[in-house]
Amino acid sequence: MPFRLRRDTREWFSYIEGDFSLDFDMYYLCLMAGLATGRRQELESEQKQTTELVDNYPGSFREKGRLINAYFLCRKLNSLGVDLSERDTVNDVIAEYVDPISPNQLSDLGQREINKYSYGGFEVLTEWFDDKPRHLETFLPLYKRYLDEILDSNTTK
Amino acid sequence: MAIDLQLIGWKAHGLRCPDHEVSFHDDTQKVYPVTLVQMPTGTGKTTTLEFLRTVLSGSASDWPSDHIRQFQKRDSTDPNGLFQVVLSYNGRRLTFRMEFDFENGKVNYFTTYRKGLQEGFQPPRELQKFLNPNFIKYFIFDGELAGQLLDRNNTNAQRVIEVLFQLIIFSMISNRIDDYWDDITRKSGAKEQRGLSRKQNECKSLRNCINSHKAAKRMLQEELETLEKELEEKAIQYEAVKANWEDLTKKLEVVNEKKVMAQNEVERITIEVLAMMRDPHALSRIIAEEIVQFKASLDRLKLPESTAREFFEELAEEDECICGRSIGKSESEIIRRRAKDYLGSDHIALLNGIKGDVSNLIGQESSVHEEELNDMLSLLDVAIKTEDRYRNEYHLLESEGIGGDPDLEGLRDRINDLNVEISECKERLEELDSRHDPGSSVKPENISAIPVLEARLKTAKDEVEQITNTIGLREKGEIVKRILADAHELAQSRINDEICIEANNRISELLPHNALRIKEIDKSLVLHGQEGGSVGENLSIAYAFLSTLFSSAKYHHLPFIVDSPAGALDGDVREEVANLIPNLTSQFIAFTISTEQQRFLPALESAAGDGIQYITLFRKGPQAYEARARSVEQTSITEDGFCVPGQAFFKEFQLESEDDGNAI
Repeated sequence: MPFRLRRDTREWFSYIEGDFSLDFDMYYLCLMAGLATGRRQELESEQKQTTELVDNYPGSFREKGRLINAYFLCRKLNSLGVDLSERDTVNDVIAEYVDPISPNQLSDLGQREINKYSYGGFEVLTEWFDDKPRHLETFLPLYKRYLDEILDSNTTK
Repeated sequence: MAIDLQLIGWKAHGLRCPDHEVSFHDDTQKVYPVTLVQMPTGTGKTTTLEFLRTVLSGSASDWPSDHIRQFQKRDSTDPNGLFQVVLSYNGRRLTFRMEFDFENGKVNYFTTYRKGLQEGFQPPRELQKFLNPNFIKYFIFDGELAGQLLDRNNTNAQRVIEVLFQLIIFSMISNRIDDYWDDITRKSGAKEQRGLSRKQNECKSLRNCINSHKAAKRMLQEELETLEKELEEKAIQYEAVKANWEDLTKKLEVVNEKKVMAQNEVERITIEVLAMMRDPHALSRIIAEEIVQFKASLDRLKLPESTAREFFEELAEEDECICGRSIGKSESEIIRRRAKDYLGSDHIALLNGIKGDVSNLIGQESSVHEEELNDMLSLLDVAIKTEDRYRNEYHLLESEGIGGDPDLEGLRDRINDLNVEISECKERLEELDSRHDPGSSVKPENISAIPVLEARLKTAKDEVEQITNTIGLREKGEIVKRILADAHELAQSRINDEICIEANNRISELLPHNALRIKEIDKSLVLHGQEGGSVGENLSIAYAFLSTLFSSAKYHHLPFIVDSPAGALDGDVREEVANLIPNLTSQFIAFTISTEQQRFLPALESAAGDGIQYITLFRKGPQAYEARARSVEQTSITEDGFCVPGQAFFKEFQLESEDDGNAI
């Protein structure tokens, strides 16, 4: 099961899409915004509203894939309300969302879930930014700032 | 030119008069001042005189055939006749010959002078005014002329005076003026005033065209000057702007280069930032911390187990546990059941992988990655600001360039327009200054070349001037002609008066008891109180007049040939006339008959001295005179006549007519 990118995400990044060496960058940025905010989005028609990306973490993301998965699992466990001291639950949840055989080591469920976080994360981005980003060099700092703000606000809660 | 004409001699052959040949040369080959030719009546004296006038005037060309034939020698079958006169003209021999063709009734002239024999009557030009029918009778004179001198219908004594005293020069000059004016006006092509008007109108038209074009030229020159000045200004302005622009361009290049470098730096750093942000633990220390805590949790939970499910599944197959206990069936089943609670080895590997990445990638200092990211973001911020600065500087410089000349393109366009306008101006000025004449068929109003128009104007003005000069010339000519006419009239009047006075003096000498006097010369001689006199009186008057004429006309010397010089005169008059004769002219030839000699010949001999030549011509017949003539030395005997020289025979010869054959 591949990573999937919302079509509107691509459109939203249209001005700077060319600056990304990997389409996965757009997915990742949305994912991180979704994971950081706990926003996941169910799409009405995932097939229509998204495009397939890759099955595995591409390029330089590959070496970071396990960390992304770790953050995903962490946020998933958090969203599930699993107490991290509960070994069996944690084990079960992890076992449910990962698949060592999968290219990205996510199970189908894990893939679907992580995609949903990406979909939701796009929503977050559209809330952070009034307009489509036009320059990567200005988008990234702002992204970082908004991310910091939400993470900080989550932390203080 | 002075004319010295002398009669050297003549000869006649085949004509009604006896064939004869006379010569008036003396032994020294000079003509006798006086020659008396005695010819009895009927000998052909009148005919000879007529021949002399005819051969020296060319008038026989007009003779009718019958008139010509009557000159044929009687009873002669010879169809030809000859009369030839030899003259000396200013020392050169001049011969006129009439050849009679009685059969055809024609007379042919031949002239021998410098060019040799020429057919026709061809006297030298200077003699033509004398050797013509009108003038010839004034020096080949007979008594008939005496009466004609008083008849203005039959004579033109005034004409003779004009010829002798060269008064014809006045008319010659007057004619020459007309000829000259005709020659001039013929070249100008317009003699009439309307020709002048046409040319003047042409000048006016040309002048108007020239003035119009000159005005246009001035305007064009002013316009050109203005345009060139504006072009110069615009060019300077353009160059200045261009120079600034070049400066600006250089600055822009520098700034742009920095801008580009800054842009590149921004790009580089951005890529660096993006790369760093791909690390979730670098995005935020919080994320990093959560991931670390997750690992820590897994560690605390001892996840993954150290023993994988496969171990227990393999253990379940063993008979003995690793602790040494035996594994029965139930133990094996429990192991298998509980093995499911353990992650497979892959899962263990996965989790161990996660935990390993967390340890390796995040490490102990979870915040350092974000700090590094933040540092990079700071650098990015700086780079962005730097790029912005250079971009702004670039835009500012650009704006400055554009602001320095808000209409740079318009300036360039204006320069191009000016160059076109200047070129058109110069082209137009070249047309106005062109010297190429498209041809006379092109009208002035269709020519714009000022030099061409000016050349045409000059030509037209020259033509006008020619015409006006011609008219002026004609006027001047008319003035001169009037002067000439006045001078002519005055000269004529004075000469006439002088001649009248002189002639009257001679008349008074010839006719002392006669009150007959010439009053004036008005074509003919006008006598005081009467129209004419007797034959003798008329002859006296004629001699007085002619002697005055020929003695006064010092520039011309003509022979004076007279028929019966004293025939009708009284004895006293004869003597007076005889006295006049030696002074009359340089050569006097008189045809006389014996009866005329009384009182005339002695007076003449007395006046002329030894300068008299005597010739007696008579037709064969009178035997006594023939015999006497034969005895005279140098007598010339022809077929039908004798020509006897010498005074003795002349005086002895008493024949008055041919009928008097035995007079001796």
